[in-house]
Amino acid sequence: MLKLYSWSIWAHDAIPAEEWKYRNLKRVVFPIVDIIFFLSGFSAARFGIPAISEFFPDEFVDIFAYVLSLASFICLLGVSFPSLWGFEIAGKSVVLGLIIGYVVALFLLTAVGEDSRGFIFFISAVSLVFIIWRLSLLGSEWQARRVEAAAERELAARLAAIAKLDRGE
Amino acid sequence: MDFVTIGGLVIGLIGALSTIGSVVVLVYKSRGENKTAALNAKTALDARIDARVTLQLETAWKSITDLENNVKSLETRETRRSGAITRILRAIAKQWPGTEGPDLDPADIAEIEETIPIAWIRKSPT
Repeated sequence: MLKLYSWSIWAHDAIPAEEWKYRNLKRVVFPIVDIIFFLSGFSAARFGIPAISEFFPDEFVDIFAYVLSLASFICLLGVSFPSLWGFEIAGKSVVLGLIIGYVVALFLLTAVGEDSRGFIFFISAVSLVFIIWRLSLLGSEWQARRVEAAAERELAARLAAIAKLDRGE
Repeated sequence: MDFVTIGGLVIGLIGALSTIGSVVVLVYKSRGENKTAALNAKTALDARIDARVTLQLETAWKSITDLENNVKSLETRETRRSGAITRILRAIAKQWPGTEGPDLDPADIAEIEETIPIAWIRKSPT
């Protein structure tokens, strides 16, 4: 259990010193957002999604809800354990697609005269900001990992060259 | 086609494109060079190389200082020893019977002290 904690985002050394000021984004805000998405999928599976039901059969709505729950749960795992960042990218992309689909459905309904859907359309659009922002952060971290891996390889090559010189080869 | 069918297609298409597009954008973005990340990596690399060079220099200087101390201590001991040998030789010479003094090897004397009276030193074979 302690080992699991040491791998998590809540472990003492999980947040780099330069990100310490923003630690609660990763430790509190993002996990809460994922939990809310998971609960929204759970709620959709039980009570349906009226806007999606306007366009798709009930079976599709159920699939939409289960996929949203599963993808959100994977995102929650990814944000909780930083080494699972790849899973989080996959999960977040799926959640993004589902929520954009939902926002588009609300937009189409609003456009054809169901003006009362306008409010929920804008509220749903707000949730997109969190998803895109998190995806953008994950992209930057992926890029930084790649650059650091290249630097590690360069360092290993330089150290090998120095060791060769030390041996007089 | 009616509104529901077109709407369903639009929703499905945009949703699927968003999912695939976001992954494609992330993969593309991760391949690009980020100046800050590259700079950080370079700084980290330099810091590690500096640390290694510093460690090597510290080890080398410690070794040099130890050797210097050893040499100093050997020099002091050697000076004391040669002084003592000189004093012993002088004492022996004072107590030597006759006027010739002791018969010493010039090579040995040259090793220990230059102040031994020449008269005491063995003549080289001619």
